[in-house]
Amino acid sequence: MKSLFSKKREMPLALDHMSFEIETGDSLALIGLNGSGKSTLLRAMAGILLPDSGTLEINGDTVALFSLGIGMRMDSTGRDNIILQGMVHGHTEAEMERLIPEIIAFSELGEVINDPLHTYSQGMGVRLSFAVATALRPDILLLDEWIGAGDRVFRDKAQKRLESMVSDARGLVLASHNVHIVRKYCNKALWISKGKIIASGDVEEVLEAFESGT
Amino acid sequence: MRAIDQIKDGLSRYPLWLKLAMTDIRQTYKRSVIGIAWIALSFAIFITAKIIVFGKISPVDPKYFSVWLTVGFWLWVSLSASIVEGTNVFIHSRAWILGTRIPLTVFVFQSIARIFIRSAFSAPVVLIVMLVMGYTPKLDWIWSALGLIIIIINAAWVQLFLGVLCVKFRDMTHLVMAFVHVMFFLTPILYTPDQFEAFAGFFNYNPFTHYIALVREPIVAGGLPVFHWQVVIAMTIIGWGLAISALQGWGRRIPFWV
Repeated sequence: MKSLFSKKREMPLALDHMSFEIETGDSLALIGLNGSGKSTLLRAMAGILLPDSGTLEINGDTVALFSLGIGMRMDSTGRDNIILQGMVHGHTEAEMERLIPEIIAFSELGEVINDPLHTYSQGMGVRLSFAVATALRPDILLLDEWIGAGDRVFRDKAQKRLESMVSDARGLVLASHNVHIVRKYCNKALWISKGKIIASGDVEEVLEAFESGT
Repeated sequence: MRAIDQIKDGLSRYPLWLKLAMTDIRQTYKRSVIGIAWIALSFAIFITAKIIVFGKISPVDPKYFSVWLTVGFWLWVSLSASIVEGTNVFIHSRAWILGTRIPLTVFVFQSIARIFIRSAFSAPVVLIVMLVMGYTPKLDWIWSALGLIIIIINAAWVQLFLGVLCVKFRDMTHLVMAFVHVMFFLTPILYTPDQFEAFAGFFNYNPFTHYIALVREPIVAGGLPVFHWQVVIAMTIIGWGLAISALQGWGRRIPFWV
């Protein structure tokens, strides 16, 4: 991926002349304080926000996990939402039906899958969303902040799955200001502040710069 | 052309928006005993009340008037819903627009599907009124069916156009709702145009008159309402031109404005 773009000529730029590339198998962390532009960049990568200028090349399909419940309906059951999420990402109902057993197994939700989503705890919702997103086998997974929301057992499972994704030569982009999570999951990082890239490179180097700089 | 692609892409994703539309409808009546039957029941109650009250003051044959009013009102519900929900179609789906890469047109088609599936549930009431009043199915009714299809095609451009416009200009939402309220009384549903003698022609300046006439005329008067078809076809072409321009020009900005 390489991008160089800015937005909103008359207002402060949300993303200002960003340019970077990600290789296959990289897991990239977007580090920065709140309001730095991490979420905006993720949404640009997801194809949700289009750049005003510049080019964005993405090789492969992306699945984005932003705030919980996006692309889901609280009134529908977990099972219906699995199908819905899959359809949102371009899969057919039949394809999603085939994936349901694997998703139920990974999320460990069991019978609860037949209950409406508004009865789920946040942790259960995280497990479901993550299970669905990774079951779709995207080329690039885009995660915004909340991977730490599950309990420790789930986080271990999630880490294993993310690791297997990366070794499958898939990509991961994770936006977080939680240094521990970043260290755990990523090998490269971008430090973003006020829409500009301050540092980029190996995760440890960038984290050092970030920790000493803020 | 990006806008045309978005329309084609949106259409191709019909399993998604049909599913969303049905979920919307089911959710509205969840936990109620009568459930979706409420759509037909509430329509039947409205129609009965209106026929009793306005039938009393109408100089026209009561059977004719009952069908006139029922078909007219049935269409009005969908036409007005299309406009009013159109103003909000993107604003309402803000979370999904900011969280998923679904083409904007999917939200329009979801809304249109919801509105017209609902009208399908109250259609039996309309058919019962027609049969009871002695209006039996004729070949002319094929024109009515075609008219209904054209209405749906028009509802789509109205939603797309208003949807885009109202994200940018929120005042338009309120203006449009006020407009729709007023237009109900200026559309010949609760009365027939000939009651207004010399002024009867003015109703032709009202676009709703033509949409309703496409479906109603073949039933109550028979034949093909050529003049109304000409007006509607013109509105369809101009309308889609407007909607495509709006989507082309402002579509990219919707996630920022919504």
